[in-house]
Amino acid sequence: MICLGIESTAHTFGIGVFDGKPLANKMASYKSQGGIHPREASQYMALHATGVMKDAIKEAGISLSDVDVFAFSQGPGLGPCLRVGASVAKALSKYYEKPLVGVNHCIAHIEAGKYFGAKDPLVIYASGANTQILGFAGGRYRIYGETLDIGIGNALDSFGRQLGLGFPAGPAIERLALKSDSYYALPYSVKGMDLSFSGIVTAASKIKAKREALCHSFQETVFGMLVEVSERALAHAKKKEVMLVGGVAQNKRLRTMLSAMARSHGAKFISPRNEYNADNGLMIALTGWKMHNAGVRQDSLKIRQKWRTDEVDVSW
Amino acid sequence: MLIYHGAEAKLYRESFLGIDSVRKVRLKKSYLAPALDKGLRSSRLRAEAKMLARARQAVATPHVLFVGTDEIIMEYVEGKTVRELFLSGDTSCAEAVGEGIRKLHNAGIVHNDLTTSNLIVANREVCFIDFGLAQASTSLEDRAVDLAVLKHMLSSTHYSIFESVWPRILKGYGAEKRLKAKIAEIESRAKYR
Repeated sequence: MICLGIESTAHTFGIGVFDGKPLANKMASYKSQGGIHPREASQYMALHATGVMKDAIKEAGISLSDVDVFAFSQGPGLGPCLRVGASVAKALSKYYEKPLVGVNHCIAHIEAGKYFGAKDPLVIYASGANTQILGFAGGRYRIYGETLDIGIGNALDSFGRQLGLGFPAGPAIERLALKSDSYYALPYSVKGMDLSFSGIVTAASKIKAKREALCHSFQETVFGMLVEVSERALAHAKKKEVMLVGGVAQNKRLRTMLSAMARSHGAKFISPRNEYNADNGLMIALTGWKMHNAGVRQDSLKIRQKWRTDEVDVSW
Repeated sequence: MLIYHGAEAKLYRESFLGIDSVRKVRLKKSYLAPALDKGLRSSRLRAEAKMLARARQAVATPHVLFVGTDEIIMEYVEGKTVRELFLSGDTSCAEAVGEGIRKLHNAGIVHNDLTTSNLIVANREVCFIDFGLAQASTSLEDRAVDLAVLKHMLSSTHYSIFESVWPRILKGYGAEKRLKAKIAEIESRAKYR
């Protein structure tokens, strides 16, 4: 069975093909000076959809009529962007008379991680808009901790914008941070297993210091908070694996910190390769494939901009 | 004797001046920047010692017997954590939990780490522990965050009894309308609510 999955929640239009193993994973990502302008991002996606599709089909060595089931990211995400993926998926499903599966974007990140080795992990999902610490219990992914305001990636981007580093700012911050080890104290806001990032961005804008030192201090603070609440959640949920997913998982410093934390509790650290960690179509394809195989029935295939991870019944 | 190894600290049960006590040693975190780690450990240790003593005027907390640079020694509290009770299906303490939090808040303290593991039912009283993140505050926002954190923890960990327990905790607290509205506002600020 071949599943073709379409991702289009924020900045990346991606198409993946999965038939029990990955056959293709192609994408085009919107970049800008400031952040994501939803309409511009969706126009970018509409412009690149056909090209990405052709590349993916070619890489997989199939034609569209070979696809048995189509999947798309139904939410959460930016409305205009979600609509692009949904329209393409719905058109293909109608034209080729094949079933269509709506996939939760956050769950897809987790499923991608599980495909690459995790069994029952504590999940740290760190991306632009999302920052959640989750674990599976009683048929759903429960959210043990999450940001009370903005996502960790958005915090990095806002901070980066102050320094004129462009979007996404994470990689530039990571590079600059390596060049300094002077630490300036920033607000450290942890409440139970929840976190708050917004005050740190403001505080960082008021410190007069070299960019390198600011980047170092900012990373150490926000990652320190995230790893600390993850450690609390690990002790609390008593899981044996720690899995890092989402776009911010590409940051090496965060990976080093989390794996050191996991090791100190005798837990295994897992994080998929970048290609499967950043937003991508393959994670949608493999989740759709699993859901369809398990016979999941869905009442509605309308996009859901605010679809929470813990609302999904994971029956597959 | 080591009785608990958590994320923050190791707890040893031992005798201090003949008193059955717990020594709480805050752990170094190798993954944090050294300056950050040192600062956090010392500020939390100080907050804990200070807030434990201050909270004691309003609710049950263990007596602090000794404060060192990396450790606190306090009285051992015999009882079951609310987590253990809830997991065994016993939710009879729900109102008392709410009432205790109200008393703590009325004393001008927010706990900032209210979980069912940090509440011990001893002699039918709810005893509060782990004040490392506590702060002095009477603001509506801080109180509401305190409760929202507990609510979040209950809905993820005790999801099967959450619907019945949460209203009883709020009732025990005597939560007024504007506090409930503030909790809803805080939740709505989080992503995708």
